[in-house]
Amino acid sequence: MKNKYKKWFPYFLLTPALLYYVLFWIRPVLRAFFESMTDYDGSFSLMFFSKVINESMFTAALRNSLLFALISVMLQFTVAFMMALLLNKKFKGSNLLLFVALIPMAVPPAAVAILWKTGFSTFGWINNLLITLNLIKEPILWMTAKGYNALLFLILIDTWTVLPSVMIILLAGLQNLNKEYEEAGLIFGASRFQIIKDIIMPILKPTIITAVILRMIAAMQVWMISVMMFGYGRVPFLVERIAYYTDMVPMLKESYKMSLTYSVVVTTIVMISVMIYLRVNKKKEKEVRI
Amino acid sequence: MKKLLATILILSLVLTMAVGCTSDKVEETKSLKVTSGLWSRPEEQQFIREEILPGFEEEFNVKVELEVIDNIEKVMEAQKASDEWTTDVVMTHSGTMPLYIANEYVQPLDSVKDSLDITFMDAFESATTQDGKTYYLPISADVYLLIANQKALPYLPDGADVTKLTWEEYKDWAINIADAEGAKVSFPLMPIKASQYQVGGIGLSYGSEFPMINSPGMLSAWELLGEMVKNNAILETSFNYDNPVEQMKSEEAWLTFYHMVPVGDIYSSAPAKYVVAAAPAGPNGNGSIAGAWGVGITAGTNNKDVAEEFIKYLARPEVLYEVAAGTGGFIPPVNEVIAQLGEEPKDIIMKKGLDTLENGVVSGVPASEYTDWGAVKSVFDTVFQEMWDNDGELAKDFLDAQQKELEKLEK
Repeated sequence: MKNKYKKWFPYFLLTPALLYYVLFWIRPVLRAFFESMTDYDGSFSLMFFSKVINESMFTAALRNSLLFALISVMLQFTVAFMMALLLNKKFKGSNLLLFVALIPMAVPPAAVAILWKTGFSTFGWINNLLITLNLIKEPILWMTAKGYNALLFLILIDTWTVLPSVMIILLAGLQNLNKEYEEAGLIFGASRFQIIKDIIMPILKPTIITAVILRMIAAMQVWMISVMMFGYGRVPFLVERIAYYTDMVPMLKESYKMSLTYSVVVTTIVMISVMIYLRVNKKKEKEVRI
Repeated sequence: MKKLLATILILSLVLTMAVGCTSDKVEETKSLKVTSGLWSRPEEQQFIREEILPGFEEEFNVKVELEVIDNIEKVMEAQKASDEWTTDVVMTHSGTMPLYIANEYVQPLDSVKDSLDITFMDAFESATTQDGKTYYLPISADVYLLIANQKALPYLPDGADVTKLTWEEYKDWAINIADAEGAKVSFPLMPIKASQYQVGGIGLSYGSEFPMINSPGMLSAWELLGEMVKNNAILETSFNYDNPVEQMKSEEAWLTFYHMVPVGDIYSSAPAKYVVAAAPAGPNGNGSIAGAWGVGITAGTNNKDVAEEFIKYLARPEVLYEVAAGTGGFIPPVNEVIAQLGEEPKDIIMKKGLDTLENGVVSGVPASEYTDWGAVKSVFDTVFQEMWDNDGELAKDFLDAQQKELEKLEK
């Protein structure tokens, strides 16, 4: 009898977490799928997917979201990895540098947008700095950027914000790395680049996968910086469309279902992206083993 | 040392408990929840929280929770549907008042109104009352005003008077400045914010109704703006702003026609640097969109007595003036307050606003006649973007199509 209770005890402990997931995660997710696949009367229909795809901003939102995720993740991973490698070398002032590098992580997205919007305004601190340094004579109208320029602008701002979070994950992985592997590489005559490529990166792979997946998901969800810098619809993103239907035109008949359909589209894209990434990684792993 | 510290700690605890137990019956503090769409700017909220609410809280021993949100309709809808009323007092724009009254989110306020020794301006009577019953008391009104940096004055067209400007003169003025100094007009165009109110005001001056896209009056308004766009008179950075404050204060812009509260903010920052005037005029007069914010009591409040006292407190002339002046220069829609306006910068803004409200061609915001006012705003943004992308040109067919989009949104 006692053993029977013992067997169920772990499940009992897990019950609150499971209940939480069922109530606040599974239920809303299922609801979103249901609402996106039904018409106003509740009958099965893909009309809202059709509406989303045919919406004038959808193509731009999809393109911007994918490009943003792709470029920002690559850029952020590369820079964060380099910074993590640097900070992993203990040198005088490395702790201070780590502290300074982590500051952007503490700034919320709304404040980030305000900080950069103030900076990039016509008489903002960036133009003032460039004029003071005699690099420009007339203020540059940064905020009038459009299309890909505006997207690049947002990628740079996002990179400034999230770089520390990627770096800290990679740095944690590096600090757990056994130094003997690197030393062995050096003894056998490997160059610094070879050590990074053939020793450090393969060992860090689980950490890198975690960092990249987290970043991919977050990058697909970007919207607030764009809205605060440029307003709704000027540099559209998929999640920005959700916010648009929820906050800006909430009383339209289709708003609720459109926002949920966009949510389902985003979720599907994120899941497919992550699966492709994991599959490619697995394939590469197999090739290395062969 | 440790023993001494422990003894002091124990004594403090005992003393605290003793004080707690010996105190007389503690008077219970009531609470009042105010949900408002008014005072959306953080500085306005800070002013209300720090300068206005404490007076009421102290006098009536009530703790006021002020919640400022955009979509109050949703909150009211949810509270009514669940019959769980957490909001006691609601502050809404005149454009949505009919909707709140029709949906029974608010209850009649006639007893409160009758007990007050003040008279409200007639302008908002139709929005605040229905079937002879008063549901809202207006506490602030607003219109659009013109503000110019003194540096812009030398470029005024010959014979033009900044205080009696026509839209044609405004356009020529903006182009004169652009020719000499570059674009200096702020026309905030952040999407789904205020483009329709700015262009709508011009349309009213030319005889249009609001909101319209392709009426003859609006065609004149678009043409006028198109001229300004074509001549590079409007700052392109206007697309990044929802108000002209930063552009005007930094002197990136010298000229704008905008809502009187940001105009009041600009003017009060350096009154000697700016000149303020009523909205420019067209053939039909000085056009401006006008709105009012009213305060009402929710239908299901459990704190009706406190809510009534709160409204009476807000309606005191000295409080109304303080609220109007402290939040940037709204028009206090009470005749007794208007009579006492002086020559302070905020008073000047209120007087100019009043002048436009009483003598201009004004239109309210008929938000309740449309399924979604944000979508209406979006239509105007689309038209303006098209005009900008086409160097000030707009095809009549395009305007007709956008008018149809607007009509689709009518209830």
